[in-house]
Amino acid sequence: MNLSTAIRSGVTALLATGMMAAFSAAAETTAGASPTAEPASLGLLDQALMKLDEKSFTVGLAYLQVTYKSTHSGAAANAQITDNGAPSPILELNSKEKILHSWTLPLGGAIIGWDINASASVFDTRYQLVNSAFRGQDIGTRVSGGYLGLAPTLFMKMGPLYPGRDIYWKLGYGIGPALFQGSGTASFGGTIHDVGSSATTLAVYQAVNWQFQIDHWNLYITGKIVLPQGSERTSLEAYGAGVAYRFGF
Amino acid sequence: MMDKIRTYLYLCFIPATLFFSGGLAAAPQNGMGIYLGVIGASEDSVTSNGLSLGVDALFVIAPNWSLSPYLMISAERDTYSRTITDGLAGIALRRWQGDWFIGVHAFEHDRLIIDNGTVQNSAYGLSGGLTAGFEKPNGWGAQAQADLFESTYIRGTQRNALRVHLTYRWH
Repeated sequence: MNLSTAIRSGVTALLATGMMAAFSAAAETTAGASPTAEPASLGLLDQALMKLDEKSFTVGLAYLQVTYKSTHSGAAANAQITDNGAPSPILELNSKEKILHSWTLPLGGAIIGWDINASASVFDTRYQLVNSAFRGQDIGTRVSGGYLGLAPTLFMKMGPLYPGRDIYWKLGYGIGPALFQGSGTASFGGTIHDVGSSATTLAVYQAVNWQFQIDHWNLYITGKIVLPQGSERTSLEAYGAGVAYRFGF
Repeated sequence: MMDKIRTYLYLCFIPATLFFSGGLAAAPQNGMGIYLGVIGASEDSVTSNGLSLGVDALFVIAPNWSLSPYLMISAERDTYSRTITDGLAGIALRRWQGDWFIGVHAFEHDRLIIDNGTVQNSAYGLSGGLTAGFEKPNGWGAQAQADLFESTYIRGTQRNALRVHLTYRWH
């Protein structure tokens, strides 16, 4: 089983688990629901407290432009193949947020913290950049594959934005190891070469996430770079925006 | 000559003292904001004009001080009739005096030049700038923002832009 197949299987399992967790959470909420609106102890001070995320997994949809870049050993030029932008699933496992330093704000707080995020994705790039910096052309080349990245992430988080509403802004940068598999063909100066490898290789994974967290929903602006280690100088870059739902567990 | 300079210094000193004393300031409030306005930009000898749109979230971090992460994008037309679009993800630090504010901002940007429907050039990097404006208690306001020294691929060539926005904030 190659990495893409493994990721797809993982996605199915993750979605199934997510749906079970969602139904389970809904059942617990219903069972624990009180006829009264709010406990009297939930005062202004409680509404202004910053909340940290527990362990969670995040499922959503992003619109990303993924670009595979490669410098073939036998060619002087490099090749960049993109998907010209496409919907892409967001699948992340997140550890509990930990505080490194915190400040109290007039409403809520700001923290510098860290957590660990695991992310999985597949890609299928088939438009090579020829005379445009962003938009590729179909010249018969194609690289596809997937990756699984794990990144300890340093982040800044502020909020809540309004009393009693879980609205936070969070900016994070993470770097860590990844498993990468990507292979196909690319044109170097008019000559088509095989690039990448069907074997899974170790890679360096970096992710920058700019997000607004609104209750369990996350609005993302995201950038990810995967740098496979090997003889070819190869990178996979993905930039875009998306929306995702966070399930705690 | 010295008298003129002295007069200008007094004229600057009085509003600056009022602004930074904070004694008369009404407290700014947290809230999400939307920005809609115009932009004028220059890059090397090429100028462009267009529309600018943004959103932010304002967090009060201390009395009379706020921090606003924001996203902004523009659609411009340059002197060669090309389409320019510049996307910003930034954060602004503001000092408030009543309804008025001045501040600085830092941002990551990506400027694209699109000609005949094709992206011809992309330039991105970290940059900074200045911001000033006001926001009334009913949510409406106006803001001017200078985006300075945005990097390009050409060494020594930088893009500078001025945006003027009508704003609305949900407190």
